[in-house]
Amino acid sequence: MSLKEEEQQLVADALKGVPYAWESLVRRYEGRVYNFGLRLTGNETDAMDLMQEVFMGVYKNLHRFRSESMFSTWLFRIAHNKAVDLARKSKSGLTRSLSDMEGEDAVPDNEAMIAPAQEQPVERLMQKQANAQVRALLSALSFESRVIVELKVFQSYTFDDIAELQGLSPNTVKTRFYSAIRKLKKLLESDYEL
Amino acid sequence: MSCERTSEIVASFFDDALAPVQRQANEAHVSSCAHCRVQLADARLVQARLASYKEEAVPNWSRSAVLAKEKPKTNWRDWLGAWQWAPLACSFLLALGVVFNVEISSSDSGFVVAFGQSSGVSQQELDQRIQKLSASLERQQGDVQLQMLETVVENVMRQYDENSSRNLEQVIEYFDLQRQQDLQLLQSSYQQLADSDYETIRSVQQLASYVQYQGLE
Repeated sequence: MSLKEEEQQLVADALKGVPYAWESLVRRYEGRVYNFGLRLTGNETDAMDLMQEVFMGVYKNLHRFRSESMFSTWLFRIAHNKAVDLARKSKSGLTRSLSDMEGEDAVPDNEAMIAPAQEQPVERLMQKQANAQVRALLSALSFESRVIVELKVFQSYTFDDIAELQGLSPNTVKTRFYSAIRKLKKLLESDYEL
Repeated sequence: MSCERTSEIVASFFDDALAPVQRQANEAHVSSCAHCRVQLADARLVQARLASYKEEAVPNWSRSAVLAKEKPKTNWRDWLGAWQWAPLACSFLLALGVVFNVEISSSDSGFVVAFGQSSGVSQQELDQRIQKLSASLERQQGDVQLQMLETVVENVMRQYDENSSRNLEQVIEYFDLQRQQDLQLLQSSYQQLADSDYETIRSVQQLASYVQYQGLE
């Protein structure tokens, strides 16, 4: 049974109310969705809220899933829409830039992440810091540019797919992506030595 | 120093699904364009930094909490699977119809659904409707009769040949003659009656003269 068929079966079982099927689907994608939220929101609380919103939306609309498309594609379309909704509602979270965070730790939630440092291996701590730095970099971008970078770099979407999702032309998406890359490069060279 | 192709070149660098031919064309362009070369080097640095991100573990959370909050809607295939409830639903509707004495009737303006007693149409309104209906029926019958008569005459005319037409003319002439004779007879009768009246008047005049004469004597 292929991955697609397996997921179709899980969706069908989840629709029948089989708890195991739903939990299997969630476990498959919760990591990707959580980290998607983490990179877009820059903090764990909002990432958790977004993830729960996404799976709530998925569960509510499970009957609308058509087997022609991949479940992951369909799920991330919902995730994208939920993130956009969240950004509209919460100006403080998803649209926060580095300039907004001046006076705070340049690496959001860094201290919270490394708090139980004594209990964590050094490699794990370093990885947490690296992740936090990437999140800080992404936070400098506008929400629209951040989403494009997220979908292209981390979710491996094609520019055509991103363009369709955002209702833009592929050339516009490429231009915005290039602008985002330039800004990130400048940030790397600037005072925020990450 | 700038190049109009830079955004496309940098974007293509992140495009894993780029066709080999396109990739070679881009590389050829980059080798000859200093601006694109610098920008592409910057993009590689950014990509390397972004690639350092490793997925973090999801904190503990209740995956089934969603199930308690929301119920997934059934799709139309499942809905169709509930057809076995249809007879029961129909029976229930029929029972409701009997209990509430539902009456459905049709009229010129459409269907009328009434509950309880029959609809409140008065006897006068009923009579008016019947009269209207009768008049309409009579008109229709009159039209039908006229059409039938015209049809019969046309058929008779078609059936008769030229000789028959002559015979018919003779019959008409005969009837004309008879009518003239009747008129003459009627005229002579009036003349006789007039003559008779004239004689009566003369007799009365004679009688009056005689009486007058006797009186003078």
